[in-house]
Amino acid sequence: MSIGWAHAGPSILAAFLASTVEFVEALTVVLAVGSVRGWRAALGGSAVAVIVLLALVAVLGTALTRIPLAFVQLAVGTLLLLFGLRWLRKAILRAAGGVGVLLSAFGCFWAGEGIGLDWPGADWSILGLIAGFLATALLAVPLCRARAVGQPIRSPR
Amino acid sequence: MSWVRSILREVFGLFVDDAGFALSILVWLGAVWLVLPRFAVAPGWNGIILFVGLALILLDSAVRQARR
Repeated sequence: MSIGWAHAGPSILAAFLASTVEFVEALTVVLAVGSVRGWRAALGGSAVAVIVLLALVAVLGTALTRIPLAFVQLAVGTLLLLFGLRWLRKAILRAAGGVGVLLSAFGCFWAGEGIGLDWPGADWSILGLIAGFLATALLAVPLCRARAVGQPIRSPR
Repeated sequence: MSWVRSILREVFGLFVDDAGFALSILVWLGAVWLVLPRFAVAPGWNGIILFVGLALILLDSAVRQARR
């Protein structure tokens, strides 16, 4: 290595801090999967994902930077959106929530980044999206309750 | 090979359990990506339009689901 740890340190620290958003995102996904499919599956999947990530970095190295960023953002954002909104809808119907709000907000942000949208306030708009999805969920819970209560009871056949 | 199929089914199920809901999300994302740039939308509003559409899809789908 041509540069020492003393020189690389600030870059490593900056990269670590910059990836905090991704850390929270990954943690949210693991928490969501863990509470739905069980902790064994979630932790096992996380361990496999870390191994795959390390293997990809070891094998491909800097060639990873040649993958178009917009494509990765769109693919990851779309998957997060599908998972997050599905989760949030289920949470609304059970009058519970939390994780789905975060996943939906991250998914919306990354999918938007992938298709080249301008977010007002750049990365800070994630906080606005979290507030927006939370407000939508809080609005949806009483609406769903009213619909469910207003339903006539079906007689068993 | 049945274990590969069950893994794939499990992964697919993580993202899609209601085809109509998932399709609505994808169609709205595609519309914001491909159709919205044809209209002169001020910078910054595209993201808000994406969010509002997704929030309405979520609201509509949750209310419909609650009726069942």
